[in-house]
Order: sequence, then structure tokens, then C-alpha cells
Amino acid sequence: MSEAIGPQASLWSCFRIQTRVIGALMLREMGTRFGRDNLGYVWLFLEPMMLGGAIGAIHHVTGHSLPGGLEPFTFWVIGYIPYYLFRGIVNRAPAGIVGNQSLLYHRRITVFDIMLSRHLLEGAAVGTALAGYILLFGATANIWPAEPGKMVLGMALMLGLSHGIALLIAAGSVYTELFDRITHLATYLSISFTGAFFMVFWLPTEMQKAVLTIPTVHCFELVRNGLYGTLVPTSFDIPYVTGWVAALNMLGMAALRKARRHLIV
Amino acid sequence: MTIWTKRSQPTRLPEAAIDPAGWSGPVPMPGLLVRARRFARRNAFKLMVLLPTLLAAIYLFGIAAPQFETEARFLVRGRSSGGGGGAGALAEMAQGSGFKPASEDAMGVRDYLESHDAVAALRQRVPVIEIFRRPEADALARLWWSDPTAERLLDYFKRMASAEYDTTSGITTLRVRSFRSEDSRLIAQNLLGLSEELVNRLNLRMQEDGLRVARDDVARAETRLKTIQLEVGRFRERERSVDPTRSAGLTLENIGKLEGALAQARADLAEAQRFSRPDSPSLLPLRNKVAALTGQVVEERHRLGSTSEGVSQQVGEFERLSVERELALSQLASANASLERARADAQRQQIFLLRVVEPNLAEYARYPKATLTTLYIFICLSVLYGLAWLLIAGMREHAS
Repeated sequence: MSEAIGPQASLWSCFRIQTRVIGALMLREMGTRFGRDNLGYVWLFLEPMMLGGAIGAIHHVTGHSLPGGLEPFTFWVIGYIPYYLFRGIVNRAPAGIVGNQSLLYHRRITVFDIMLSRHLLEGAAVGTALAGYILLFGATANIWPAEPGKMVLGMALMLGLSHGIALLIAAGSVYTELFDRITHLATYLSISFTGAFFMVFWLPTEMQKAVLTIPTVHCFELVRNGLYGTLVPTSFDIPYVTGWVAALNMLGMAALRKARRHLIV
Repeated sequence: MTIWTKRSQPTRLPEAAIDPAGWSGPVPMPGLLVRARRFARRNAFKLMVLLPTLLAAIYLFGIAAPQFETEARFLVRGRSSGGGGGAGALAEMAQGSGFKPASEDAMGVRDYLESHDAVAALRQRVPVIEIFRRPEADALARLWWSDPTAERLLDYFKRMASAEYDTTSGITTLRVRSFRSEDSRLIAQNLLGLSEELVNRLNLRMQEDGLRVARDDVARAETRLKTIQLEVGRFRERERSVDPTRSAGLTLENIGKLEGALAQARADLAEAQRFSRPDSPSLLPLRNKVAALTGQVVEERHRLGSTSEGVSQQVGEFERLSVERELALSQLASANASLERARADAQRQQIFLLRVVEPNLAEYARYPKATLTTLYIFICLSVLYGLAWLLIAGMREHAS
């Protein structure tokens, strides 16, 4: 670590400055993304709610019965909303630096702050949408989450994973536009095996083992375990996902540090 | 686009601290805490990553006692019919995707093997605590308490023994680790024995449940039959007739015969009266016969219909009793049949435990996996260190 020359600010005050910067960036991001016209900030969580609701409604109307006697609407919504978090963060990652490059003019704003604020905003929006749906389920179908803490943990791990991947993509997009082109395709193709729309216990043992190497699968299972409790068997490994989150975030942050030297501000 | 550069800090130290000759004054030796902090900051990687890894490696390669693992595999078979109702959708899905649903019996055995019940039962057969506190066990890996509570022992036991159920093959794998290979095998064998006993208990319970209802039915039918038989006996004693229906029939037959004879006698009398005078002595015996027969018929009829002798009443009661006896007999027969069926069902539904792989005697201590664990610890700590470094460096950039 480089010994800082000049006035030594304590780490704590640095941290507080950073949180303030991130808070301000979140407010700004909200303004730039949604503005104050028509519904304004409401779109923030209305958007994932609408998408999740639409997907759920389609499958509810088609009326496929699900193994384990699960209600199709809740199942698809509970699968789609965490997936929306993942997709929203990863898909917006290539545009993250380009869109906010001018902010780097300010000394205290770093690339990491920009990315983190965007992701936290996304997380808050999707979290609100999920909370809204849970209230809706509870009020209409009387399905209250068995362990809300596990749902929150699952969403937090999902956020951590998406954040790490997004940092890597953002760093890569500084060097080449390839990421911008490929990311959407990759997230679209990933729908089938992120674990959003299947449960691990549906699969034969061999498949289960293969599928459980994918970290996002654990997050979805965790969220479902939080909602359904012991109604359906779920399998997840929190240390495994935490390992993925740590590794991805480390690589992503290191990549960002490397990439920002190539940024022209 | 303008390029923004950091405005560099003044490189000179503040004027006050420098004496005219350009030397700084005597700097006091910093305190121990400050020096320790400075040391920690300069050797952060060594302290946070290399030192713990080194300690772990010393423990794993030098101190840790070898642990021997034994493995056994078994199948739980039987009970082919699945449940109805709630599992319908799942079973449908399972059939659609071509694999059979998990057997709840095998799951039950697996859950039992990792339960306090199994540990308690094992403790009565094998000196579990002694086994996990062998003198060759190292202080860290052995069971820490000489008299552990059931919960602590269960936690430790779960770490040393595991049972896994494979849904595709239906085989349950039991793995036991301990500090001697004989101990591992002993525990595994006893666990297998315990699961066999569990399966037998389940069987017994299932049979009992299935047969109890049928047995109760049979007993109820038998008592009913007995009471009715007793009643019939008492009726016979009271009425002094073995079978009133038949005796009534006999009486009726008797009457019929008498009436036939009476009609014949009357015809004979009428015929004789044509040829002789009414006071002819040859008519007398015929007249007497008719009179006697008439008297006999009247008497018999009277006996059949009278309330005091009560043949018809006897018949009524006897008919009721015999209908009841018929009913009781058929009930007993059907109860017996269902008991037989229940017994056959119980036989068919029996589950049993098939040993596929007997517990082996390990020759090579597979645990602890020293190299892998050391590597794992090193990688984990490095990642954590990198993460912390990056986060702190990122925070430091916000210093004003």
C-alpha cells in the first residue's frame, strides 16, 4: 500500500466520504434514469414488478402444473425478480463507465463508486419490487415467506455476484467494445441455466451436481427456500457462493484499477 | 478533452519542523503500539496470509493425526407403491423426466443415521467417546470433551460420519472417519446394524398397524357368533325343542296326513250309508273313526296355533336367531378373509436393507488432506486480502 503523502485522513473518514459520494451518485442515477416526468421514480420498482408480473401471469394462464404442487404465479415471479436483478446489472455494465465518464472530473468520484452506486440502486429497486410481491402474495394467497432472512441473503448474494461480473465487464468495455455487443446475448442465453426457472430437485442426481456448480443457482434456491420453507426441497451452499462473490469482486476491482489508467477523462 | 491531473502535494516538510541547517530535530522513538501498527502495515500480506497458511501447514503436515475412512453402501428396498394425492404432480413430473422418485424409506434411514437417536444407540454398543478421544488423536481434531453433552457429541459425530442418498441409484453411502481403521469399521458396522434394526422396527410397526384392524374385526365377529350360539342354546333349553321349524313342519305334515285320512274315512262312511240303514251296526266303526280323526285334527290345529304351547311363536324367534347366526357367520368369514389379505399385504410391503458394500478396513489414512487444505486456505486468504486491499485503497482515494 502506498504511504499517502500529505494530510493523513483516517480510514473511517475516508469511508464516510465514500458513502456520501455513493449516496449522491445514487440520487443522480435515479434522476438520469427516470427523471421527474410522469411517474418518475416509481418506475424504479414498477418496471421489475411489471415484468415479473407479466411473466408470472403468462405462466399462470398457460396453466402448467409445477412439480411439488407449487403455485405457478408465485414460482415464476420469485424466479424472475432475482433474475431481473442479475440481468439488469450485467446488461447495464458496459454502458456504466461511458455514460458517467464526465463525472470522473470530480476528484472524489471513482469508477468503482459509479458502478457500486448503480448496482445498489438496482438492488434497492428490485428488492422493493420483491417486497411488494411478497406482500401481494401474503395478502391474496396467504403465502408468507417462511424465512425472510434467507430471501434477503439470497438477493444480497445475487447482488454481490452480479456486481462482481459487472465490474469485470465494465473494466473490459474500457478496452474493447466487444463486451457491449456480447453481454446481451450472453445474458439472454444464460436464462436457461442460471436456475431462475427450474428447481434443483426436479433434476436427476447427476444433473443436480452439474447445475450446483453454477453460483446463481444457489441464490435462486436460497430465495425459494426463504419463501417456501420446507414445502419443497432446496439445495444451496452459502460458503460456495460467498467464495464466488469474493473472487469475482476481487478480480473485478483489480480489473477496474487496471482499466482506469486507460480512461481518458 | 482536458486531461485532469492530481495536484501534487508540497514535497517539502512543514517549515517549523526543519531547523536552519536542514536537519530535522531529534525525533522521539515512536511508541510500541505505533511501531506495531507500522510493522503490521508494512508486512500486511505476510501477517494476514502467509502466517496463517504456515500455521495451518505446520498443523496439517506435522501435528494432525491421520484419520481413516471407511465406506459402506446399502440399498433400502420394498414398498413399491407410492403415496397418492399430494405427490401426484411430482410423481407425474418424475415419470415424465424418466427417473424414479426418491424412496422415503431410504431417506428415513439416512436421516436416522445422522440423528441423536442413532448416536445414543451407538453409544450403548460402542465406546464412541473413547474412540474419538484415542491417545493418538491430535488435540484439535479429537473430541474436546471427555463427557460431552448429547448435542456436542452429535455435532462431532456428524462431522466424522456422513450418510448420503443417491436419488438415481437409490444407494445410500455411509462414510465414517476415526483415528484407527478398526474403529471406523466398528462404527460403520454398528451403524449398519442399527439401520437394519430400524428397518425391522418399521416393518413390525407397519405389519402391526395393518393387521390390528383386521384382527379386531375377526375378534368382534367371533364374540358375536358366540353370543348368538349361546342364545340359541338357551332357547332350546327353554323351549325343549331342538328345531321348532322342523317340529312345526312335522305337525303340519301330521295334520295333512290326518286330514287325508279323515277325508278317506268320511268318504267311506258316506259310501257305506248309501247301502245300509243309518242304525246299521256296520257303520259304527266308520263313524267312530271319523270322530276320532276329527278330534285328532282339531287337537293338532289347536296345538299349532295356541299361544301357550306357541309353536308359531317359537318358530318366529327361532327364525330370527338363525338369521342372526347366519349374519354372524358371514361376518366372521369376511373378517377372516380380510385378515388373510392384510397379512399378505404386510408380507409384500416389507422393506429390507440390502448391504451392497460391506465396511472396509482402511489401510491408508485419507484424512486430513494436508496439501489440498493448505492450498485452499492460502487461496481463500489471498482472495480476502486482495479484496480488503482493493476496498481500502478505494476508500483512501477519497481522502481530501
